[in-house]
Amino acid sequence: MEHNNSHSQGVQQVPQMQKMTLIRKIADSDIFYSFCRSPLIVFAAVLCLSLVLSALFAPWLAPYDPFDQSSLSLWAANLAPLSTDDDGFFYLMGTDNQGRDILSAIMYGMRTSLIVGLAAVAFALVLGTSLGLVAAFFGGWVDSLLMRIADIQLSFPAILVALLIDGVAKAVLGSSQMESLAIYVLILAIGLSEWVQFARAVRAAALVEQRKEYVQAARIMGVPVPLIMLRHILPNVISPILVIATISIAVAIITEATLSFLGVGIPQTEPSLGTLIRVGGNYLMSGEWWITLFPGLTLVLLVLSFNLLGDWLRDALNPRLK
Amino acid sequence: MMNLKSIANLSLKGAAFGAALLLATQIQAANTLRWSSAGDALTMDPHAKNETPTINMNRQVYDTLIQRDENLNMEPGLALSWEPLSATSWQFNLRSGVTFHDGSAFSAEDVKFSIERAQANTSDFKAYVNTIESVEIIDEHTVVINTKSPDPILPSYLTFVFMMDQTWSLTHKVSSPQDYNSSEETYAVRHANGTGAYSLAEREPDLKTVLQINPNYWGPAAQIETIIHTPISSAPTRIAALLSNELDFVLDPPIQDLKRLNAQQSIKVTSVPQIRTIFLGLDQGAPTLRSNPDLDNNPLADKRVRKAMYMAIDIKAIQQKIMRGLAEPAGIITAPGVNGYNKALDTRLPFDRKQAKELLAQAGYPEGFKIRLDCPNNRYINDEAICQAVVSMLSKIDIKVSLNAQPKSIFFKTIGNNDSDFYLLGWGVATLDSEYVFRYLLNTRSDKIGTWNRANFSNAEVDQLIAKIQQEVDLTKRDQMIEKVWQITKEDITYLPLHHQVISWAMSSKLSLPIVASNEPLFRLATYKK
Amino acid sequence: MLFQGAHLNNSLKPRLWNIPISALSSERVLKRWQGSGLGFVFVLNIVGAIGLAMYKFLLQRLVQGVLVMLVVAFVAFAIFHFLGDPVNNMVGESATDADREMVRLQLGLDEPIVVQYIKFVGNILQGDFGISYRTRTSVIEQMAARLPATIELSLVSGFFSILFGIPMGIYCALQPKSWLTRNFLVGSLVGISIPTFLSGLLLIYLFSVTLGWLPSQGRGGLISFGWWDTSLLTLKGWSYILMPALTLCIYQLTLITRMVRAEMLEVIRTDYIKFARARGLSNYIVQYRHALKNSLVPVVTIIGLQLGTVVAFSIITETVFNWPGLGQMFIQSIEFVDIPVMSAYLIFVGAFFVVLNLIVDLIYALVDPRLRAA
Repeated sequence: MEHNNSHSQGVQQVPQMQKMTLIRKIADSDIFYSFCRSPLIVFAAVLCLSLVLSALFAPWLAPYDPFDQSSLSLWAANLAPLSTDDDGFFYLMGTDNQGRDILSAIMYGMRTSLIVGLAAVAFALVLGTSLGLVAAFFGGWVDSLLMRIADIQLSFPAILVALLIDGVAKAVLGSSQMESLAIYVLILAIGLSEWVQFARAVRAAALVEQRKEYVQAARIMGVPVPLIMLRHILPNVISPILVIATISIAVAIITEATLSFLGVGIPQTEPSLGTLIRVGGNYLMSGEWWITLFPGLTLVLLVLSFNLLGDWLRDALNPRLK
Repeated sequence: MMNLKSIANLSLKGAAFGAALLLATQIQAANTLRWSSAGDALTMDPHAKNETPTINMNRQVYDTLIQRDENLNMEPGLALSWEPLSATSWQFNLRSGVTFHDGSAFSAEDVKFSIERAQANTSDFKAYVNTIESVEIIDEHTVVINTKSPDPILPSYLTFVFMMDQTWSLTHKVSSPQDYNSSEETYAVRHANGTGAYSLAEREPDLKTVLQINPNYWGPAAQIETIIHTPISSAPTRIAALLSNELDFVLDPPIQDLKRLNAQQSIKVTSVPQIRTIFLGLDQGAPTLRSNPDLDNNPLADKRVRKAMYMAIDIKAIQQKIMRGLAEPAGIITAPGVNGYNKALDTRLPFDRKQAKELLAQAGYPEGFKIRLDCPNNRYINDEAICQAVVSMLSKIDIKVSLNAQPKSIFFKTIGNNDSDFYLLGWGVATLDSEYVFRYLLNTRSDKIGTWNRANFSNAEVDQLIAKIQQEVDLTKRDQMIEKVWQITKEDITYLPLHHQVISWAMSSKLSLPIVASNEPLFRLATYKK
Repeated sequence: MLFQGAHLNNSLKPRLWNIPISALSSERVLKRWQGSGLGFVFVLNIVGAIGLAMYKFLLQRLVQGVLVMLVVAFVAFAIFHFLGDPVNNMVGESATDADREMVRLQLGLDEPIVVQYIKFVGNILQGDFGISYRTRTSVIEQMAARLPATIELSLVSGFFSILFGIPMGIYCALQPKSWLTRNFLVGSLVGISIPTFLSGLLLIYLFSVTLGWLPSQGRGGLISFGWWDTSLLTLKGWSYILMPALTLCIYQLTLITRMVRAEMLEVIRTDYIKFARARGLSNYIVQYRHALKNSLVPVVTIIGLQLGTVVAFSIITETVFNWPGLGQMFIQSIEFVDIPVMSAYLIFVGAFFVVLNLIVDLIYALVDPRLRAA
């Protein structure tokens, strides 16, 4: 294969080769094998990918812009799925109580949910990983302090922690600023409620690595501590982090939906999936089921696909279950 | 030790257990009325909390000197008759032979005690009795009430002043309403001793309240023996309970569910216009907008802007789509049934987006402006949805509104702190007299009066008229002045009225309970069809 | 770095994402205890073996617990003052500004927050949780009236998750390739992917409104024992608790199924099970006598600890099913800015968890040889 390129392009050859071997490596790996073998996981991955993509490209894919207040017509409110309003606009999944197209609202809402979920987990990951490494490396009172904080926080369920942080933010920011900052506050609240998982896993792994002779040697040679952490320790904790992250995304999305259901999440003018379900829930008994059912179904599929992938990753990456 | 067989056994048992539960569906006790609403009465102390659900529950147990029937007409309560002796004194002739639930007799002493209790510093009903100078006991069944100045609407106020037993109150150390300072629960919070058609049998705040029929009630005997109230805050759950026959009556069904409820044979829905008007407030008094620091003036001070915003609102769409027809578009902030209301005043400016845009351009805002709308999300019927619709409608004349919808506890703080340029509010008229609207919403704001005038509207003529209305005993002259005030505020476009709320009650089709515009069920009038 | 050993064992084994690692550690410790064959004798020896280090350790944890409670109380107390102004909810619309100001003064809301906080903690130390701003009733009585509902819901939900979770987990471990195993595993994932508020509403719609089998809300069929009302002694009572408990148990059910499965899979692979098989013991005895027994102890411990999480999760379930428990009370009090009730609830939850953690620490201490001998 590597002879496909002419020798004159030798400079580019090396990365190309690396790329090939990487793909090779992936294709030959156990994980990829286990992935292909399970149609359910392939399905989950495809589902997850298509949901994420449709959220990502919502501005181009969605039939309407649900955030454009001036385009909404109240007269087109509460239309059933597959109906057409007086101006000839078609609504595949019907409209909500403000005349917003449900399909578009779901696509944009999923965007909000995913942004919150991914950002919160990224935040938790960075924070948790760094604190875990710090705790492991410095030990002593730094370690006990951090682990005590982790203990305390673990003893409170994520939803309560997020509720509290949301309350503090409201207190600090004042209610009028909250509206524009609500999404950042949510990210912060959910992120802070999930960092402990990462910190604990990383700390534990780092403690093991730290004892190994090559790390001791590197230390004696005067390699800076941050470099040791990044070079030698981090690569060893990637698989637990990956598993925790995948499942945490699912948890974060559900937490966001629950907070929005309790009315402390994203404001109704730019709804997330949770907000859509909360508003739609009021119409469940009245027969306008599409307002809550479609967003609900989307949320379940989204969360399920992450949970399936995370669950599979956990087993696939666990050497003891092979 | 478990094996798979025993697991299978377990699940079989589970299924049998589930089937047995089918038998557990409720059988309705004879002559019991089970009802629900989103919130519970907050206290059984009849002078501690001036709030509709609390008054609702207290009214079943306590009576007033004068009461209102199901059509809101005044009728004798514990007073058989009343007449003005002079401009500032009224004589009340009390009903004899009335006893409290504990058997003691009702007398003039109790009237004096109760009114003074309602005047106490810790009472929440002071506004209804603050014109009263003194209560004189003439004899056991006659009292004279002297007022500080002429008060034509005293009888109307007295429909809110519940009569308690002096001896009972003194015995249980509740001679004044709950003091917020004290850290102990007072006896009257969970116990009651009234003269009403029902007595309080069981009270668990937020969980359950049970009322028993009072066999010695002075009025026509009630038909239903036991009344059980369970608050259910989640609306879908409340409706599910009614649909599955766990309840006989729901006070506040969401309007979107009425169609479905009506379609059920076992359930009926009744509706009546409520004495409450929903409107938008615009702060015309502030020098600049709090929510838009870019502007160096206040566009809301310009009447043309207010008019443009008024005309941009498609009230028909709100009425049809958000309120599902259960609202009456309003031209003034007072509903039919209130003294001073008339059909000619209750007319709206037309919905005309084009003219609205022109008016904005004339006022110097051809590109519109940005502003924030403060809105409660758990106070009025579909309040947040109405606000969202307003945001969308105003954006079509280029006024870019950001919506700040909040629970009422935070919303009212915002309003109370005078922190809003633009807000949605509802106003009910407890006394059924326009003066109640003027006093709170139109009088120039001060400590004592104009407390809800967050439009910061100030008009010397209106203030003078209100002062005169409060003391004028000649009702014709008084009504003329009331009309004058309404005309001035309509002309000024002080507020943007939206609609009069319509209330609906959903109940078992076997139950007969007349709907009341004050949203206060009178259970003593309820009956079951045989 | 007291439990480094325990953490080390865990490090490379990211089995279950949602088990608190502290719980995992105790599980590990417990297993060591089980596996070492000391078992029961060990427990008997403990009492006499408590040394100075242990007292010091427990005292340290106790002080930490109190500090945690103070922090929780302060956070709770501080933020609630910004949730809204309780005074507007406490007086009617006819109140004047002067009236409002008076109430504010009476409640001491004009004082600096720190002063209010100190008074608040002082009162609590005297057992005075104050009275609710909303209902003017004693907070402690209000909580006592609602405690049985929450505890029973949590217990029944825990019971359901054990009842279904353990057999499912065992089956999944013993029959890893069966189609039922896949259904159990995937089905439980679907279960935790549906938010509680949605599944609750759907259950009500199906079983109460459409089929009319079960009551949609509330708690019924009660029998009183003093201040404790139980709904567990009548069929009617069970008809009320069934749906909320099922909704609430899904999460724990998934957790337990997976935990039992993982534990069983591991135990089956250990040497002594292999040895037992080699000795010619029947599959039945090997699987249930040895494997199951050794898997269950940690599982049961963790279920106990998870009870706390169930209490907190019940906030949403209670709201949907109008279950008259503490969670519902908390949500109602948030809406009204009922500061005494909210603070009391948070302190209750905090105390609950601190006590649970203390128990875990105690178990740690008892089984960690370094802490035993002085």
